Amino acid sequence: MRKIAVLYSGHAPHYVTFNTPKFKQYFEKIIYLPRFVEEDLEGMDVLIVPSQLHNKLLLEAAPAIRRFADNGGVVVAFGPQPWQWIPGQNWETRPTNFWWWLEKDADSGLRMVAPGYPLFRDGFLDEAGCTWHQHGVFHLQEGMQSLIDMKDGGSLLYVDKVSSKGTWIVTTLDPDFHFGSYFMPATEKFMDGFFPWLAFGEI
Amino acid sequence: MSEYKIVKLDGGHAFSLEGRAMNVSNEPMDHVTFIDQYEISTADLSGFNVMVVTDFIDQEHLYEHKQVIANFLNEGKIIIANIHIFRPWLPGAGLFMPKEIRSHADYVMEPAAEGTFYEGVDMMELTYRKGVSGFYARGSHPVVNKASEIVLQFTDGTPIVFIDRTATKGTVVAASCRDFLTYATGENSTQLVAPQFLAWLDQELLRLKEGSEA
Repeated sequence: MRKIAVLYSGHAPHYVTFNTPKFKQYFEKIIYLPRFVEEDLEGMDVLIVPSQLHNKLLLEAAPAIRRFADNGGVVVAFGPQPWQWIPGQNWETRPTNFWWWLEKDADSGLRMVAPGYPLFRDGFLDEAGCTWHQHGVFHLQEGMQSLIDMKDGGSLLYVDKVSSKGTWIVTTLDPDFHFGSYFMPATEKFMDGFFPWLAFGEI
Repeated sequence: MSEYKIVKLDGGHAFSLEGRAMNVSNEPMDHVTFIDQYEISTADLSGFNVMVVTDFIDQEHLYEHKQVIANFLNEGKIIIANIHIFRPWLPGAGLFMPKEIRSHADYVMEPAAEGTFYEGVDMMELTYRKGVSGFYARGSHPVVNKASEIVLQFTDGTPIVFIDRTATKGTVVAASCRDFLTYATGENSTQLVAPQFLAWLDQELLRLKEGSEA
């Protein structure tokens, strides 16, 4: 089982999500971001950087996070990214499509482009488990692999094995926030599959 | 002229930057001063008489600096907590409990009294948005002091918004619902919440001032 650390903001949604037993059992360490030091990452295989972190603290931690990936670690980033800190990051904010499922001929906009990727191939997640609203998309650089595209362009979920010796897994989805604020069951389904994949799956 | 001088803690997170994703409206808040949440222990709060704490505020930090909150209240001021509390930093309020739900109707709310800042607000418009239930509140904070005034509750009587004037010399508004101040420009009766709440703040500040002069 990979050793997974997660950064914790101290706000209520993160408190609930990361302390829910079925998720907490996957975390070797829950690191309170205001006291984060690089040594916290020693011996860890995966670092989850959740959504909605305080911008100044995130940017202060970013060099250490990038070094973690440069040394072979896996970094997961959830949610909108209005601040530049991920290698090759090209984030585009889009109006949030809260109500796509109420429209005629409802289309979430998701386009599965890598069904053979182990996350999906091995049954950890399917498209439905990744389907709720989005706050924007990422535009990718050469060598990055999108796993799910959006119909109007950009990626919802991608893997980057070229920017570092390790792996960056980046998604616009923010299940850590929604589950912890008691909102939207689909986000729970995502983490039910995603965390076991991070711990045991082929990345 | 309004009595209130509102300071709101800024979580410094992505949604605060965009100011839109989880809000009812994107109304400019010219009547509110924002300070970074981590400046709460160093900022000069003497010019403010109302502090608003909403989701995405670091409650570990708030708990470490709960004396700042206590001092603010004991100066006869008001704390508004639109948040799910999980650390005991707020006098007069228990820790958040999510509502047990068997049906979407379990999220339906009702005013607990007449003449509150929910006057004229259609409870179904507050509970549902585009047919989805639970937009306003999904749980509650237990009332600590029996003398607290309950303003809004689920129809089974579980409190959502209550006012405590007993725990400190100030007033605590403990609210497990969304930010009152953002309910200003919706297309239905929910737009009444923010202006009526601001009017209530003025009345409450006058009451606190009279109480301190008595």
